Amino acid sequence: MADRRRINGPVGATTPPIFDKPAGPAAAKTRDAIRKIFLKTGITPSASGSAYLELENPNPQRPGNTSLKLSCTVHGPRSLPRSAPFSPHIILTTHVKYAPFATRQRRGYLRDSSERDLGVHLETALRGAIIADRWPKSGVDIISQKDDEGWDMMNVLSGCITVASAAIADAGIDCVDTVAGGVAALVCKDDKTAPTIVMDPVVAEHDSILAACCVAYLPTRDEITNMWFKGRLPGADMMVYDKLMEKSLVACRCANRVIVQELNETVKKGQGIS
Amino acid sequence: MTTPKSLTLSSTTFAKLSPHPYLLANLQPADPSTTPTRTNGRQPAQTRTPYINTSSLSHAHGSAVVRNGDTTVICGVRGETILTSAIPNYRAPSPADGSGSSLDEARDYDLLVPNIELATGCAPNFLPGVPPTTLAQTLSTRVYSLLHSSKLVDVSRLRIYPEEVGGEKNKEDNDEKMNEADEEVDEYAVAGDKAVKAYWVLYIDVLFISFDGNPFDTAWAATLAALRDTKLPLAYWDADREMVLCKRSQQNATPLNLRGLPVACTASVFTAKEKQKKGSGSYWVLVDPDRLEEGLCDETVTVVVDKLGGSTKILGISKHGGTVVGPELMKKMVATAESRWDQIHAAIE
Amino acid sequence: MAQTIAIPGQLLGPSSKYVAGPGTHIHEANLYSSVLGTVTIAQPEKKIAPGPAKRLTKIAGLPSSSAQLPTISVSRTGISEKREVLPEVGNVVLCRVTRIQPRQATVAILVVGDTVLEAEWQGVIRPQDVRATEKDKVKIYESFRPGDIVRAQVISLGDQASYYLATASNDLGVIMATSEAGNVMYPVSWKEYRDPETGLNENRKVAKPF
Repeated sequence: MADRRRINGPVGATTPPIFDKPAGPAAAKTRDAIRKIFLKTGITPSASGSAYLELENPNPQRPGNTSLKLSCTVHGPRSLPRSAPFSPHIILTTHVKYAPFATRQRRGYLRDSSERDLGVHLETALRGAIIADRWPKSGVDIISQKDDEGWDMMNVLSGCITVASAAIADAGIDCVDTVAGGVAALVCKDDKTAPTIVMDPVVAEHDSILAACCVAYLPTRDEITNMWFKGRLPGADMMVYDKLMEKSLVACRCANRVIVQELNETVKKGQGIS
Repeated sequence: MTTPKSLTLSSTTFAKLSPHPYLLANLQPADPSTTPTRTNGRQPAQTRTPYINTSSLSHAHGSAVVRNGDTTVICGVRGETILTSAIPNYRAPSPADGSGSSLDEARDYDLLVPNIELATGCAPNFLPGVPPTTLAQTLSTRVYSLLHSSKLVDVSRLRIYPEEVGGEKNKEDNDEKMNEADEEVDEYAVAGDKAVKAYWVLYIDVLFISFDGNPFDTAWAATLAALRDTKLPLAYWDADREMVLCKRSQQNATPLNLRGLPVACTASVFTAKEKQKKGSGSYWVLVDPDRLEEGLCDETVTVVVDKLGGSTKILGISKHGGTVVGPELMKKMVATAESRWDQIHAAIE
Repeated sequence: MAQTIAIPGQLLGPSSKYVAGPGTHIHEANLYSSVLGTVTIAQPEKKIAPGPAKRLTKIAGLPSSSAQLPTISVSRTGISEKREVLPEVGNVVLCRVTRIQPRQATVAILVVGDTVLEAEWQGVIRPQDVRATEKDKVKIYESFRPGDIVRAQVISLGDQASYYLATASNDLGVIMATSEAGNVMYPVSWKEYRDPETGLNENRKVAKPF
């Protein structure tokens, strides 16, 4: 059933370009830090709060110097729709959407299951940070838009958490802390070598990823609001799980420093005008 | 005439409570020495300065970010291929078919697919999770029809031919020539003895990051800038595998050959009374309106001009609502559009 | 102006030293900032506005000892023009009438106190809350018309959709009105507005001009 409200293009099937030679492998880099983050608030003046995030591209042979671009807008606090029941606290709604040109395969405009999944994770991560009862009878919509590449869902989620946290602070909604996202993964080169844990993994750099973990963390409170773990761990070593978590938390703290810095800048800018 | 209490209100309160008199009071100041300005501080004919940035997306074949005041859009152009066998009622273009033939491949086979997405949270009234609004549908259709009516994209660049049987060597020569200045002649020489096997379909997606009025002009500028930025990889039909393959190397990627540089310029007409009767009362033509102004104006004019090559060509005029704009005003609008063209041209180069 | 910047989650001091003001919260006997803004410390003699104070004592939970301590708060003024506030009981609001029915007038709240809102909140004025006297004679259609700008006071948080508002005071009521002919009118008495062009009077609950 074609969507009559959009321009759908030709009736026949179209295929994305298939290349005759495979692309060269990405050069693996050993890092013990997260990729550089660029964060900026206030990109959408028409929204209550907004932020934009870019991750540095570790192998800049492609056009553009960054690999993940996320924009986030916060609308609210605003009145709930007429049909909604009374709520003594704020109702949080989250949306995560990939732009049609964000991935290798062109995406449709309707949200698919992975985007809904990300939205739910983002909501849980933020709900723990917002002081919901300060705003009775109101709703807030958080919309994260992924504008460009990003290899896997975990990295996208951690970026979404970080950018949404900055946007909420920009909107002036009460929070107990700035929540930041971080990812760590257990990777291995081949079957013979022992797996290692890396922070902020870049999927293209590693041959295989055994397990990954994405954490939303409140640094000053030392609390975790959301954790997402997937993959398979070697059963013999119980410590691997702990180490994976620890590395994720280090990544969260790094991301949080960026948030703190940008928010300080935001206030200074505001003071400069007034 | 207004009640004395309204004087005690601050200007932001006044703007929120009664936006129409607020804009009117700004355009018609009580003190004649102050120049009439819009609520955003601009003169009636003054536009916002556009900023254009291209090639920022890594997965699109062409992309552009256009910022016009507080309106920001991002546009990505993505090429996909469609086999001629998959096109219903396909009719092979005869070798003589140039750009001026009766057969309009781009339109007949729907090779250009522009879509404008407003439901990105770019403004409080555009929240995601809803089907495209009337405005989004209208914008998509307007961009679609302007793309076709202006014949902006040279369809010969979208045709995909079988790989040269004579060998790689000859093919490579052609590629190199194609990159040179006399592309047109070369293209037809190649096209002459080969049947088109497939086409490129260009998916043009325009997303609003921030919305503050004048969506069509900005969306069109982004479409134009992204198409200018688009480089399609060299594709050929592989007869053995019966599929379209693309060359990996970046040198073989060719830019689209755009015809001209059409620029859209929109203005809204603001009338002194909210429901103005025909031909009476004063009015102001506000070029490049913002969100507040768009909400208060009934009449809108859009002129699309192209000045590339010296003389001004008018590619489209559309006007809806209201009865103020007549032939005289339309001439002035064309002049305004010409200066807007200079502005966009400078930003795009 | 070098004011201390606070970001959400920043430690401001022990709760034994300060009283929590707007934009702060208490966690494990310490005060933390909950919004992005600048820190202000108000000495106890400077009482803060009655509206927020009611809510804050509830959060602080220490109304007895709060009198001696300075109040620390984080304000967003100067950082962003967009400052959302919620209408609270006792606030004077400006609203536009959107719809009238015999049992109530529905309004959109546009301004709370001095703050212009980004979002619109729905409010309801019931006939018994329109006037202070002769409440049973009040008819909604003789008090308001859609499009009027009304100054009113919040009397309750209301139901799930609307705040309950009242205009039962001399200085509350319609402050701007347009006639049926579309002209801006001026008040002529406590219950009438006049159209200067047609000369016709229309009934309203008129707010006393200052």
